[in-house]
Amino acid sequence: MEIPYTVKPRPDTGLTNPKLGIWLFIASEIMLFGGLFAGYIFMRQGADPGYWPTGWLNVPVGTMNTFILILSSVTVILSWEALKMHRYRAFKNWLLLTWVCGLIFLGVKLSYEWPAKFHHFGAYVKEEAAEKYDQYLGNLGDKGTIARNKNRRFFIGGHPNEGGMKQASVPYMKKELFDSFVDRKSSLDKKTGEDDATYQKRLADEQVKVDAAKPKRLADLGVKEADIPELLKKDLPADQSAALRAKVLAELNVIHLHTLDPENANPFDPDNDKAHFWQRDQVAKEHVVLHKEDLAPAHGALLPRLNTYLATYFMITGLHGLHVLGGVIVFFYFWVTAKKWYEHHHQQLCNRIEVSGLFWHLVDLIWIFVFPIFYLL
Amino acid sequence: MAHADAHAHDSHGHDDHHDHHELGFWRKWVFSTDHKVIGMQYTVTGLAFLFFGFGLMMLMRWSIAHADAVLPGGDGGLGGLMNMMFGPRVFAAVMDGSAIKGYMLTTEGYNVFGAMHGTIMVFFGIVPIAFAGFGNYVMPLQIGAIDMAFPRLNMMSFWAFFISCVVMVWSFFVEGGAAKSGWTNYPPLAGIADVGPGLHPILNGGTLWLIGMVFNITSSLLGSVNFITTIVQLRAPGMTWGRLPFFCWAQFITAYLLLLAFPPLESAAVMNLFDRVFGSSFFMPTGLVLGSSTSPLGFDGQPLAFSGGGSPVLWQHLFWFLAHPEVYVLILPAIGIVTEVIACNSRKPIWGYKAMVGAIFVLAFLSFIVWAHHMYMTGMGPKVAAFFQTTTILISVPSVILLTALLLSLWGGSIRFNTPMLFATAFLPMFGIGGLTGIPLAFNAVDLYLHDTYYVIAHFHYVVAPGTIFALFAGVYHWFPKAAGRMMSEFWGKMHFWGSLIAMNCLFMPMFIQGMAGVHRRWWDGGVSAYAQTVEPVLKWNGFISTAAWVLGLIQLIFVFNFFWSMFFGKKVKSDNPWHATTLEWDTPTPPPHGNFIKEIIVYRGPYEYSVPGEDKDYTPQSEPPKAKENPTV
Repeated sequence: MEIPYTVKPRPDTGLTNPKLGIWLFIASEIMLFGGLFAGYIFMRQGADPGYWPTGWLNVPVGTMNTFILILSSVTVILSWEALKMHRYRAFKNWLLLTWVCGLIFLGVKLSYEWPAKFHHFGAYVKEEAAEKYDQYLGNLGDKGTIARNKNRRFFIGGHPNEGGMKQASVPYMKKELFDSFVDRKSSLDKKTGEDDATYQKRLADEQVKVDAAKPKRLADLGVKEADIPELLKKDLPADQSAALRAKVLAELNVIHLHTLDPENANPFDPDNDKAHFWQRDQVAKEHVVLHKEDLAPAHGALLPRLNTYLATYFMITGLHGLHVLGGVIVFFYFWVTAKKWYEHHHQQLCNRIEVSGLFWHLVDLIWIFVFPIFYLL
Repeated sequence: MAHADAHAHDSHGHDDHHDHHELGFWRKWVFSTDHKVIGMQYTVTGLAFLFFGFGLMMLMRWSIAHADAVLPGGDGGLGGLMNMMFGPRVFAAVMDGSAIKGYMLTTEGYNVFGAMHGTIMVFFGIVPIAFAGFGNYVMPLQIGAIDMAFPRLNMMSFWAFFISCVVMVWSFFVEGGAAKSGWTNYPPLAGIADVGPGLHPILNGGTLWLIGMVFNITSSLLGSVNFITTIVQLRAPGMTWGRLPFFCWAQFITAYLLLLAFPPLESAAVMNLFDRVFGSSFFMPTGLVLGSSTSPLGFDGQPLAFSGGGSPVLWQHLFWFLAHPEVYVLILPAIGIVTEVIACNSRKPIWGYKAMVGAIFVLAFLSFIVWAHHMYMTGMGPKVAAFFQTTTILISVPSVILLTALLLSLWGGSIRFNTPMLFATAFLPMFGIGGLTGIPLAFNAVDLYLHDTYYVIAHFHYVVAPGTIFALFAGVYHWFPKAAGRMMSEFWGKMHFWGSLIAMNCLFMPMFIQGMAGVHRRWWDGGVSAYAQTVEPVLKWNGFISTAAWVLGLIQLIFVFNFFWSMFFGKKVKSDNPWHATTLEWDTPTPPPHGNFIKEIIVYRGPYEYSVPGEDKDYTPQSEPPKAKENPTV
């Protein structure tokens, strides 16, 4: 029993079954991603003005990936053309290039772009260390008291929208701490090839630094709470102690977003570690340095919880990535089994490459929308 | 036709074995790629789910009518059984001193059953039967195709659907019970239900609901691609678009609705999965506070620890963008079935075939731009509301065209009132009631009052229960002889019909009264405890409605009995075309073999050539060649 028009087009419609099928599938895919983009628009609309993060993603890398994907869209057409012209070797090479491009795209996503987000965000205060920070974390003044219990550890992290929420009231990370998240490896780990004596000395040095960075209250710096808003004004009267002001601002600039430009906040760049975008216009009453040994990094599963922007990013690029993966697997399969099909079912192989090529163009097209809305806008 | 039938039977054994060999049991009945077997798999699974969903509703009706009474039978009775099956969260024991007095549906259990009744009836009952079941079985036969365009994809659709069924049923038995935030699964409730200490982070009711829906949607998408491709590509020679039976047109449009409306729900389900599993905030507003310091679930009355900024209304938009077209997914195949049955049994062409086809095109288009009439309560502005009111009222035009055309098709026919025809004719006024009572709901001002009352329940149940489900029964009685080779019992069929018709109306008509009096659809005790004073005059209907529901349930047992009894002991059909119908599915042997047709099919005429003047019989099959002219002039 042969289903008609699987290989040869039906004369009055001019279509083969698979070609019509893939166009219908593409229509449904467009509706699927349409729903996801609608979600993106809602999230972005719903964010407080100025708090939708921009410039977090690595544009050069994204651009490179874009071109790789576009290139693979071209090569799949060349592959199809070569197959139509019975140039077997050229067909196989172009097809190889296509799925290798797909693999590179996925590789960049998996090895660099996605994990980078996992390294940079969020930390817990460890259960056993929580007591040390109770005085700072527990008392939020008019926000009420956070009950610390076994079920919930203190969570430090950020999101542009979470101004009214309790993580936002939890202090910020200092730059040193932030840097330690940039390279995930703890500097307290023993380095490879480091002898014991050097390691012990380095540990001792670290301890000195840690002691120097003991939790401080602003009061310890000689600043009165009521003065803080004044101190933060740019046109501070000159008769204020310049040294004190500089000192306070140096401490405060990691917590106070109002004085900073949220548009240019780039938490991925340690040298440009100005705005801690998770802080809103709230002057911390207490100032505290969190020690990195008291913190446990919050792992990836928690990321979308921190950040609606990243949740949207992971969802859309993740589903897109699954589509790329599907395409790579299909092209790989065609590449491996090409000979048999080429020799016995040439026309059918042409159709297969054409149909999967159409799908591949869709994957490309979706990325053409993903790239600007996440990387550029 | 007699000689053609004889030919069909004669050629049975030796005409169709050259290109397929006998398949084993598993390949033939379980992992089959034959569209007829897959259609039957869908239909049987769907029927089982219809009964399951109905059973949930019957238990809910006990809670509504007898809120203070334990389930009948005490410890060893129905309540004990339910407690054993669903656990103490859903059916709690009522103690009398130290002895168990009996079991009652808990309030949480009521929510579980309410949510799952809706989900199961819509996504696991009616759509699988009306679209996937009948569509798979009948549509390729009617267009003269040997199978669907993608038989293996067809099998995959069924098995994706089957996985979704398993997941949904399984979700009843995980800790915490099945989903309980309504079949519409509105967040933020849908984001925070079934989470907390003691519940699995993924294998809990709410999350399994979403996983099940993703599989279900995937199955529908694959199915709709297959249906459209089959109808476009595999029509037999001569089967032009103008000769396509209306049932196939209805399936064609339904497939488009599924294809384009389901993906947004899939994206919404993925977002909701993210919210539930990864703690993101797509549908979670900023500063959501849950529980109190005394809450047993571990929520301490503090704002929940997620980023916020999400929009619960986004879910509603994406959900109703599917779920309004879904209403037409439920009703269009039913209208298709009714059309076939009415044409065949009134022995008369369908009145206004082209107008009907045009009407379903318009209906399908409009169904994509009316969704927010489900959301008047979200506080949308009057301008937006005016737009959706207008489109919603516009959609009644094609609906009325369909109903009028079917009604006029009866006019002047010589009607055979057999069981399928009874169900099909009853469909018309029942669907009419459902449609007309929807018009007040289309208006913002009225809807604000009637929203979430029993009025709404009665309205859409009139559309889908005595509407669509009656049409499905008509379809089962109509095509059973083709699939089984035996007729269903007319006597039991008529008992089933009259019992169902009366019980259905006793069940749903009083709901209009209750709804207009303000009875809310989610009161587990029917309003006795909290709102007795407000709705006192209509509370007496609670018992009446519940009794009607149980009677209706009992009457369906007649159908179950008739179905299985007729399968083995029914009267054997004497010809391949027992109803003397014109469409191509009756041109096959009974039951149709793998590959369907044993003669070459060429279509010469339109689908409903009944009682054509000058013909020697009152039906002219589509495949019958035109007679040679008696006096050829050329």
